[in-house]
Amino acid sequence: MISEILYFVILGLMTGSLYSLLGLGMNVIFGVLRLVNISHGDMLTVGAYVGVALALAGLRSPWISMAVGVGAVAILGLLIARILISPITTQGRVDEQRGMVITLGLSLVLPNLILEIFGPDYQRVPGKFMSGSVMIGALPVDKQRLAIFIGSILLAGGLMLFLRLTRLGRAIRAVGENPEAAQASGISVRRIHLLTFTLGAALAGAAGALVMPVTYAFPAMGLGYTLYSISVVIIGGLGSVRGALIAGLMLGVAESLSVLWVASGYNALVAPVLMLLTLILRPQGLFGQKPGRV
Amino acid sequence: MAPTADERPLAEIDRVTAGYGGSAILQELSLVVRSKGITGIIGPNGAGKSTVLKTLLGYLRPTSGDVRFDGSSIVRLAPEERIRNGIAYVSQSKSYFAAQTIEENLLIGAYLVRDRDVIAERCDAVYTRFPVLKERRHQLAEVLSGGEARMLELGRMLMTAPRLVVLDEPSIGLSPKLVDAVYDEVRRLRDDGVAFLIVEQNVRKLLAVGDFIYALENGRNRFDGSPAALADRDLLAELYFGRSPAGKVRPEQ
Repeated sequence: MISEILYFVILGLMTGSLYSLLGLGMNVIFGVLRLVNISHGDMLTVGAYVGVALALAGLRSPWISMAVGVGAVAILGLLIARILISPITTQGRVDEQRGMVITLGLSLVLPNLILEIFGPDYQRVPGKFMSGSVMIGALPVDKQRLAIFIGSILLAGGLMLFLRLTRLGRAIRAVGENPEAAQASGISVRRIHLLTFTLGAALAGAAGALVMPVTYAFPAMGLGYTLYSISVVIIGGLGSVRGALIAGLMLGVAESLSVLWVASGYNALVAPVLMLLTLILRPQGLFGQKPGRV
Repeated sequence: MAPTADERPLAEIDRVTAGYGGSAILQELSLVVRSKGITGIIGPNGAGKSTVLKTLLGYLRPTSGDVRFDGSSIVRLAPEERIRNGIAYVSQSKSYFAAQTIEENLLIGAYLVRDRDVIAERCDAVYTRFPVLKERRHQLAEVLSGGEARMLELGRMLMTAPRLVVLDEPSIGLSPKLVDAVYDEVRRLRDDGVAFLIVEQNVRKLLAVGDFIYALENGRNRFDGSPAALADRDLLAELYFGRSPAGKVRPEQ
């Protein structure tokens, strides 16, 4: 039993790291632009389908398809930010309702575009970062899943260090907290918004490239990931980078462990239930600030 | 007589008409900030004081007229570009970053400065001026009291080594003692050669420290001159209480 639990914890950490990465991107975008990006999961879809397209073209290297996927999603993010989000931004904040409607629209348009191009079939990409498995103690762990974990944690950690230690990272946090004072310090709020949205989208694209080798891609796959991102943001706390990281891992572990006690079809309930519990018991989330403070 | 350095205009609002959504708050208003000393703007609510500042800083684009800084037009520049030109701004609402440490606040203030040595030098200068900030440099700014937060705001904007400092209601929400403390710092900075443009509800205080006063009414210039000249007229009472010449408001001694 103990080793079984341990095994599911390890599996959970690996899926969880992906949730962390997604939640982190969504949280940074929300924290800086005050935009709930309903199309966040679709950025992952686009990243995954770039991999599919490259595989169909005969490219087998997961590294190249990851680089191309992240780059493509970053460009897509920049275009969305520049063309759709900028015009509805006043005084350093995106108009809440219009932002929701526009990204909701995107979450309909993008999957349908993909459906039009690639068709409704489940797609599988053959390229793997690593194959085979390693033994952790007495437990065999798929190397590809380990790669997802390591990749996600490196990206998430890199982002945290970037936000904490660099001049640009400080500027991003400054705009998130107080756009007026940031502008009074000479920071271009407009440019920071473009950068932040691009960065958040690119992280989701990276998640897409990482997860692709162990799952199937289909046009509507983004919606589920958007819901996971929202759960992670709410459980970890709005605007908290550390919160998203820990909440994602927690959610992955909880979901994975749940199969020990409930039928595996029900594990999709874990995220919404944890989210509801958080909203009831600790509405500001694990690491969120108390409401009333900006 | 040729103008002395003190009288040379640093910033000029030149026949500016500006407002929100078609209704003009400023009506062909002209105003000059000198390169030395403290220029103050007073006036009742709705006179257009904050609108003047927003126009000068670029948060609001005038429908006509020009805004100049140091002789050249800045009316088309974005707010952050005006900061780059040497204007600093402390708004009336919280103008610092409560969720960051005090040192991080200063580093954000130095965003435009690339040279690390210069940043370190200016940080030290701010800490020398405000020792309380140095003691708490690694604490989050949210722990600061109202007066200390004002010091942090002043410190934050000193990081860009501004030539003109624009303050919107620096006395708001502070006890009289802290108001004095803030204005002591303002006076000290003025003596170090920084020019100020200050908007205040606290008319007594501003008349006491200001070198040159503008009184606005309905988006127009009702008076400009020295605080003493203003105090000698009944204009203040008229501006704030309607047309009753009964009580004169005298500046604080």
